[in-house]
Amino acid sequence: MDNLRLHYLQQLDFPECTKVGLQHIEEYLSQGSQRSGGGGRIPGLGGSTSDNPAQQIAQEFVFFHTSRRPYHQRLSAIQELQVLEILCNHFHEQRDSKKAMALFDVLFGNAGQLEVLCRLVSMGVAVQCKSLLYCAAIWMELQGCTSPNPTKLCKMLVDDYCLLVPSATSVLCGLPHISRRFTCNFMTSVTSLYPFSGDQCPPYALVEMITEWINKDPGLGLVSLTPADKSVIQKTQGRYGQVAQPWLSKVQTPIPGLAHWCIVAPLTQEAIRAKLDNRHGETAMETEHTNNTESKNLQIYSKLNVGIIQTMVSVNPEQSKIYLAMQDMFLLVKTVTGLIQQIANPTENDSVQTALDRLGQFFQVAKGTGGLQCDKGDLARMCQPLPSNRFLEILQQQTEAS
Amino acid sequence: MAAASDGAGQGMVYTSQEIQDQVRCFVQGSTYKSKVSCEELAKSALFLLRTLPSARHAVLEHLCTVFDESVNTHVLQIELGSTISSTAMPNLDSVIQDSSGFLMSFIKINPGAWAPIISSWSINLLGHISSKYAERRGALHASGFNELLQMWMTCTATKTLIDLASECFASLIGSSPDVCVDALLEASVKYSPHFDWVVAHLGSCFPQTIITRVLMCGLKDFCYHGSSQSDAAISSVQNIPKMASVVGILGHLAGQHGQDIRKALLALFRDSLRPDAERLQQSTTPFLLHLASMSSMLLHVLTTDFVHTLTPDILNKLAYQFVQQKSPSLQDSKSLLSLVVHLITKSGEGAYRVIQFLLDVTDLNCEKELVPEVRATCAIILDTLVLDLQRIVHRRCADPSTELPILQALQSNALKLCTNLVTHGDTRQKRLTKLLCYVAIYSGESCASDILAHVLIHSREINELSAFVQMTTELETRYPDILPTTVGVAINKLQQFNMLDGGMMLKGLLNVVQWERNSVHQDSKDKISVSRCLQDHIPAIATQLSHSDPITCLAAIQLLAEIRMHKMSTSNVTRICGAFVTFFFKVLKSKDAVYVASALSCCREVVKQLTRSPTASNTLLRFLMEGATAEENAVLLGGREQLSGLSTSDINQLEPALLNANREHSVSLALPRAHSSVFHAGIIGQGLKTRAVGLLLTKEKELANKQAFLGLVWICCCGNAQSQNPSVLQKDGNEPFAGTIHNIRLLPAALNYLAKCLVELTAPDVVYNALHWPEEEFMKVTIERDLQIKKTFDSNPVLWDVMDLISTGPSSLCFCSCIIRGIMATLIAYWDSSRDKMARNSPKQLEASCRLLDCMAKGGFLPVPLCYVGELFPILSPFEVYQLLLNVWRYMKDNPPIPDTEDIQIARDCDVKYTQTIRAVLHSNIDSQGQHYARFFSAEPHQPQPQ
Repeated sequence: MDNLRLHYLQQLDFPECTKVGLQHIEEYLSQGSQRSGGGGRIPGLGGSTSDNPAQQIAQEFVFFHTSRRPYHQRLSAIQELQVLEILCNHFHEQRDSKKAMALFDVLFGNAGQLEVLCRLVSMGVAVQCKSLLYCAAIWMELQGCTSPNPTKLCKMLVDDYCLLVPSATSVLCGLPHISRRFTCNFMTSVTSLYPFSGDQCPPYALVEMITEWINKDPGLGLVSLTPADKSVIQKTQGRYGQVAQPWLSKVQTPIPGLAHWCIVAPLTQEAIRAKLDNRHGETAMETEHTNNTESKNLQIYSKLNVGIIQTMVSVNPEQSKIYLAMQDMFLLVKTVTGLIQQIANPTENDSVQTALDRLGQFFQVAKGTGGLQCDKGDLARMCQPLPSNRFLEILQQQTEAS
Repeated sequence: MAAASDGAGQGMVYTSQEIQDQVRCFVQGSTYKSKVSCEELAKSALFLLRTLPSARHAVLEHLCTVFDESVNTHVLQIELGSTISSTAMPNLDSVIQDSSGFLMSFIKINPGAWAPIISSWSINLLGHISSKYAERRGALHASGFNELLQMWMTCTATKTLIDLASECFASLIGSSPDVCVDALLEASVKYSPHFDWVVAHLGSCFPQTIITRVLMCGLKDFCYHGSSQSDAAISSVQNIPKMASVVGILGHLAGQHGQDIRKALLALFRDSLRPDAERLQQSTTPFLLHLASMSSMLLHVLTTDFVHTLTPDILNKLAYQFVQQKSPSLQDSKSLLSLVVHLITKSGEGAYRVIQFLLDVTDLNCEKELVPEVRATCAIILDTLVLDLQRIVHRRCADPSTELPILQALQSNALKLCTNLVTHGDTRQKRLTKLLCYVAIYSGESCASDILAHVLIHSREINELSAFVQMTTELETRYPDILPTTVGVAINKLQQFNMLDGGMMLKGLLNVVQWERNSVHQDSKDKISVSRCLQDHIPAIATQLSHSDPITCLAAIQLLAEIRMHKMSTSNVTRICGAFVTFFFKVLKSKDAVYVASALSCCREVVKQLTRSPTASNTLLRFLMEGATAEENAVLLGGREQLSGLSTSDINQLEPALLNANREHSVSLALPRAHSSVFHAGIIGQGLKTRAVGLLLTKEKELANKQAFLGLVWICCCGNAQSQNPSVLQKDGNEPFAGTIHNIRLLPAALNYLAKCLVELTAPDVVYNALHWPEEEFMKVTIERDLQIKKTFDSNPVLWDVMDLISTGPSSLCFCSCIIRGIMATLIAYWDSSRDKMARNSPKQLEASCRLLDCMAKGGFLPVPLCYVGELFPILSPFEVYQLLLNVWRYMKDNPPIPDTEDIQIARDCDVKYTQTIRAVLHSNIDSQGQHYARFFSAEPHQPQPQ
């Protein structure tokens, strides 16, 4: 049966064979689910992937990674675009998210075709393919949003839409309308992509976009806290095994990452300014330019800060206890201390004070909304390496008083 | 939709449906599934580029085909002529323009993101296109590098591509040049050599980066291939694929960025010498050498700029580096050496410097701290070079079209090399000599003779002379007539040179001539020798005698003394004699005894040479006599009379300056030489020139001068007889009068001439110059004339000696008859009027009388008793002297001197009437002169006189 199918597909020409191949894979998967539902196969023990006909078809007729067709060993870029188009269309037409996810899992589950995936997602954003992005969001969650592969995917998106084609940024702006879940995961990944180490700041366009998203839709950052439909993930459980099991403990939100951005941004600004000051002989124009970007950055990060706090305030109490751990706080404090050390006379410095204020706010809101579980000593320990800050001192006093 | 409303502020936003449509359209069009027009396709492609980032690969790939097609059309047009025009693909150009405009704007907006993508895309595409169409006929036409560049730059597609690439480079070069250069070089290796024009073009836009990187790339490649096939010879260099590309690229860039290349090469070289150089860098030197072997431009850089940097320190480092390099096999180092030699033979402008450098290094005398190996290696290089050149030069005889850049270049520096040869002497002589020989052979006879002349003129030491001889022998195999030409050139230079060099040049010539005389070669008569060549240039050398510098004059006279003179034209003889005589008197004026001695001995030699022709000897005699009687010289030979006429203030003014100044002219200008060639009558404003007088000389000096003068006169008179008997000549070289005079037959003709000369110089007119003696009374008629003659003799006492000399001839004195007569008349008049008691109270007149009678006796004018009367004069009274002289006059009147009779003495017999006066005088003084009586009147008075 399987061989027959393969043989049939081999008779077809290029674009056709891919289209038909996808149909065959779906067909096979639906059969497979029936079969496994019928107790035919034990999940996770379905044999090696290469034996899997769906995988086989995918490799041979979607990615053309096969030794059997030498002339198709590599697709040209145009042909690849064709495949992407076909895939996009296919996902677009697939209304059943379960089936879509199954197909997605077959195609990209083992992350072997990361590059194709990246391009596909990039295209999916442009053509607003909802189901595709939903699948991608699930895939990111399953992989772990901050792990390398999803990060790479996000980097690709940022490069494509923010750096390479600035005129297409607006497309990315509409991302929440296509898939809120994907947007949320995208933010999580992106925050880990630009950890503000050194001078590497996130592109301004990106920050602006995220700020806009968060301010418009405070719940956006919390989408990932809502578990995905179990049945959707069910199919893939075999592959991800243990990782997927304790669903909620693994979940990540963009909140710590974005808070990190907001707190660290003024400090990094300060460091950049110090460096520029050292480098004399700068033209007036350049100075003006840097001043402009600086004020723009300050604005956008305060806006973002507000957005985050709104998001945190809007947290559903049931979900609240999971989005932040004390460990994250300590990590954040460590980064902040490191940056502050590079700045001369930190207590007098406005930027440092802003950063510490934001840290305090974040702590207070997180604690207040129940997102952060901590005891009395934690705050003192946290504040101990930091320079003095009025707000933090008040916070400490409050904690001791309570 | 939502997206549209969201991004309304950011310009045109397209719906997902639009995008999907365009994707479909693009895919359909580009895969030729459906007929989509070219413009449509381009539009959708550019649309996707703007809206769908993930489609950029596909779009760029599509653009590849567009560009490719455009190039194809272009090449077709070239192949078929422009007849087909662009009907086939009308809008390709506009598509290309549009897309390049888009890409350009992308690069401008976000260079960091787009430039790497577009640069690698454009470079790869360029590589693909240029290698794809390289075999096409249209491209094949462009054989040269520049034509290829020209062809591709006229093609819109490739020009656009290269513009894009350079735009990317421009935006990246500041931040991360490696990214783009690496892509470029990768492509250049992949598509070499068709890709070179791209590298070259981009290189000319970003010279420094590209040059450095290209060199590094070449070095890496060289290292890799060089080590893998180290046993192969130089030819393997051609097998290293990248070398040709590197050379091609650098060659293209050399025109406009020569300085950058220079700097880059030097930097590469310098880096390789740093102590922390890697193994890769250590093979820089061989790499550079191989590069140079493939490009004359690089060779030029190497020979002109690198030689400067090769200080001893660097050389030592290099040597150390080679030792360090895992002991290269013998063959390897050999091939490297031969490569170096080959390069040197190919080197042009810098050749002289290179040779100079090698010579400096091999010269042990240069106190540079060099490792012995360096010296040895350089020596090997030089030797091999010399051998190679020899081979090539001699082979070139058969095929004159062969070019040898090194010799070409050295030709212009030949004289510098010659100077080198002369100044550095022994240490580098051998190689330099050979080298110069080959330069001479290569550059033709005239240059060869120039070189030889230079060496000849400047050779002072004997080993330099040997260089000359070696070169001559070598060159004569090629140019048989080289020696005469060389001598001609040398002599020509003699006349151009300034005062000081003349002496040196003559010295050089002298050395050669002396060597030739001493060497065996003189025996072989056929051989052309320098001295024989010089025979043609004697007048030119003689003019140097008038040089103001005594050293030069001495050298000239020495040289003249060495040359055998053969027959010369009269004018030449006159010139030589004139110069010589002037010189002679100048020598006499000199106070430097050593100088005078050597000069005089040479003078004698020269006179001996000159007198081999009678004309010359006569001319010389005449000039000598003229010189002796000239006012400025008279004092040298004992003349004093005129001093009285001068004011004392003038005595210190030694020389008649203007005459001297005029004589100086003759040194350099070939004006007719004559004693009378006076240009100025004086210096304007100072009136007539003041008379000057020589120094007051001591008696000894006077005597010596006289002796020297008479010596010359005597040699002149000896004529050929002298030179045929050299033993005599040498014996009496210093004292011609020391008794040997009578053993040698002086030439009667010469003596006659001398006598006539004397007459001419002393007698004021020719009216009374007859041989016959008139009546005593006639003395009164000629009294003024006689006084003048006497005065001349008084002011030039040397004339007495000359007359003495003349009297030795058999009948020569006859020609002086009129002079003798004049003097005697004066003396008779004096004694007649003298009222002194004794004749010796008038010593001057007494001496004159005695000498006169002495001469007449020697000359055979007087028979036995008469010829002795002079001996009596000192003890006689003036009247008695008068009587005796009158007696002699009477005898002479009756027995006039007759020339050209051999037996004149025999015929002359003393009649008694002439002896009576003597007898009477003796009788009156018999108390004191009795013992002399027998001498005058022997027992047999009629016996013939013993000679």
